[in-house]
Amino acid sequence: MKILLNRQIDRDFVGGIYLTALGDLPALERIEPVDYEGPLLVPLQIGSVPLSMQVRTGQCVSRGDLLARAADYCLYAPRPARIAGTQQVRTEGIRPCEALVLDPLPDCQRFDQTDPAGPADAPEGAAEGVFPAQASHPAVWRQIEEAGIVSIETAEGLGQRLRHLEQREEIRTVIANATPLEPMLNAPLALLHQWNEQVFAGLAILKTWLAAQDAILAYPHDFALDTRPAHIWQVRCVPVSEKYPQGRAGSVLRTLEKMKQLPQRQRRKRSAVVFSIQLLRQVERAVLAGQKPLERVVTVCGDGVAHPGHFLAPLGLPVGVLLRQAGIHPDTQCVVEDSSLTGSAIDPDAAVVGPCTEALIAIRRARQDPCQPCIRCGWCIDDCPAQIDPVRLLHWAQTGQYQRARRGGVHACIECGICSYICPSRLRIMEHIQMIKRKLREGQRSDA
Amino acid sequence: MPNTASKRYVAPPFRVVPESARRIYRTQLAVLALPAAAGIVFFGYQAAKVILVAVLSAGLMEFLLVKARRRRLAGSLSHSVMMGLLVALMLPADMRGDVVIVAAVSAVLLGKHLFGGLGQSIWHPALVGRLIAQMFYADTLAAARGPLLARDQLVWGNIHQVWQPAKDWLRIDWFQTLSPTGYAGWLLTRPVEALRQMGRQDIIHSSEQMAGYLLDRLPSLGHCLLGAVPGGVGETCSVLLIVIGLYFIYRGYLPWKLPVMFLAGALLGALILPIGAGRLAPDGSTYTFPFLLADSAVLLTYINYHLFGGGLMLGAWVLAGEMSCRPITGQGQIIFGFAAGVLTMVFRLFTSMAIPCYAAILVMNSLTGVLDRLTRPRGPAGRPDRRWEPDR
Repeated sequence: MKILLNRQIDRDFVGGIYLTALGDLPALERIEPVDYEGPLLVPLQIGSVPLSMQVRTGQCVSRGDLLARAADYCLYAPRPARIAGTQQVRTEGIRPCEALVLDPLPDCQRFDQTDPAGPADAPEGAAEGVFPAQASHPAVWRQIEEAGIVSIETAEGLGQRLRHLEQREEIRTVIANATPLEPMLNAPLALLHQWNEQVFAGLAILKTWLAAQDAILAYPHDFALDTRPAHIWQVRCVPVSEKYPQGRAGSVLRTLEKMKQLPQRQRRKRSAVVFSIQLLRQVERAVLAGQKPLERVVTVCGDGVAHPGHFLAPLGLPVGVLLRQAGIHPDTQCVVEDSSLTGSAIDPDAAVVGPCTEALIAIRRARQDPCQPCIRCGWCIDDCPAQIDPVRLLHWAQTGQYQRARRGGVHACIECGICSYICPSRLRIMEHIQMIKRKLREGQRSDA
Repeated sequence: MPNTASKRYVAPPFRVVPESARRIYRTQLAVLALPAAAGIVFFGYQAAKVILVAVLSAGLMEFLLVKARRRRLAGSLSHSVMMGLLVALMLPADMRGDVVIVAAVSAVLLGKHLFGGLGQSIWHPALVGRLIAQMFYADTLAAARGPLLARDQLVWGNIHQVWQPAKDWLRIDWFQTLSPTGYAGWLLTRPVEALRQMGRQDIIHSSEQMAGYLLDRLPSLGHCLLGAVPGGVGETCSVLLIVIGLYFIYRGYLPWKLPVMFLAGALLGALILPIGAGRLAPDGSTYTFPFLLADSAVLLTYINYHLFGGGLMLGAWVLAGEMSCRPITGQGQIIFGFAAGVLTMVFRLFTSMAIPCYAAILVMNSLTGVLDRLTRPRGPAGRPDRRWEPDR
């Protein structure tokens, strides 16, 4: 009944579905530290970008020392440790990469690096020229760049993302999206509950940095948000529904536009930009306290764990440690990273917490039934947030008609996974759509 | 700790899918047992025979075809059995066994598997079976009258032992009248046939004339709502069919726009299509438009008889919503439903088709492909649009 009423009341993006929680909801009041003294495996890759090591084997480092860097990424040591070499690990579910092994060393003297390529140097690949914000706030820019904050929305360093944003048309609105992608992935709400002021301050910092006119915090309307800091930091708080995929940037933009919270066509002109809650807190910590993001809040949930919760996990922490701390059931069939609709199954013995890790979902019963012919129920079309025709795209994918799929709007797909989830014939629609996009990126011109 | 490296869970989604094809068809089959039960109540155990023969024939045909094709699909057997049940619901309870078998087998063989099986049909398989039975057994199925058990002979009465001389509804109130001695019921005019005859035998000029005709030739509306009228085994109990349709809407199997627009089209057709077109009265008038009648109560009653008599409710709430034969988009479903409703009234009033509603649905099934092509989402045209790159 509540969902029915919400559907009637909420003015939302078209399509989408309401998901139920898998297992219990993690408590918002507590973000647990991780009790682990073993070695950390800090990955030397972020996305598809490899990082170059700035330390050598045998070297001792202190907490916060630079370990590796690329053009816009920096990795720092989460704790005092000794570099014990490298090892193969898996980040983002299935991507293998090298990782620095950091052996624990509770008392360690810091040794000077022989080749300091540290924070004093300008990052490689810095954009040509200096932007107005950089020129007026060089210290703030330096702190943001050096912090090594990763923007998960665009899978790039925050510094690079801010440069791209400044090259765009004028950014008018910055938005913080606190809506959980799925009900049990409520880390944004836990962060808001714990560090309300830091999140608002981070949003205000980015609003000032991008010279935006407005700042909005979108949050679920049944969440008791403390709005006092909002008045101080001049942030508008807008309640929205928890319909999936409201946790995605594109969906919340559409919702705000429909609710007339955004001036018309700001979404299409790309003058509104969305940031995640964790990123905003990292920005605030970096700018106001000079703290680097050495830990991430990782949600462990699902019906395969006895004690779902949020954990403050250091980078490089083996995923198995988190799962054991959450009380993983022995009959859990798989562990999924990110989302139960679009994530990837990981090997918990080889995976580690990386700069992009947000959630681990332990699933007790994951069925993979065989595909059947489409029965033309139309649910994929009705529930598609992008308002495209998934089943026809599937047909074009199967027959190699990629250009036709491009004209049919395959790039409009936001890969939310609703079509595959809702399909009673178990058709792997999203997989095929991803394949079409891959083929188009690779320049395939196969068209039957 | 689960070792996912050795397992084949490589593709999302990782949640249990909320509905499966098998579950959809099994649920629909289970729910359609309700009008079947109502048919057994009003038409006796002979209706149960018809249902059983149809269901077994359809199930056996499906079994043989699956063996022959060596391809088994989850939900296909339930779907075929459901088609057999729908065929039975559309046939009268006093039908011979061979007619039932031909209809049920045709539904599965010609209406479903000839086009590729589950999800591939162009026309509703059960309607194809019903149409083929109509073609081969037109005389048997074209009767304007049909048997009905009296209220004291429900379930156990023999539908073949009814009072044969024709009775007018004027002299029968099913709720009050008991069965004649030695008989289980009566042979009565189907309400829809009485409506069709209204335009052919008499020329209606006024509300009073229409009111007199409706009172004399038709049962009270309660008969049509409850199902105490002659007709197909499962097509008479309108209230039950509406409840079933609402349940299908609740489960998401039937989009609400389709039956609503179907009924809207039928209502509009009943309102504006002339009665008695082509006949010439002594005063020179040829036909009457219902919406010109002065008394709105009479007009409303006339419309209600069209909606609740005959197979229109079965068509709107059950048959038109068959997933593989209806348009896949909301806009297409609106057009489909509305056009089917209007066509039903056109066929009813201006043709002598025995199955006007079912024929209308079959015609609209033929246009489903066109409606899909016109209404399917097209996405942003032309170049790939970077604005729409997947966001996280």
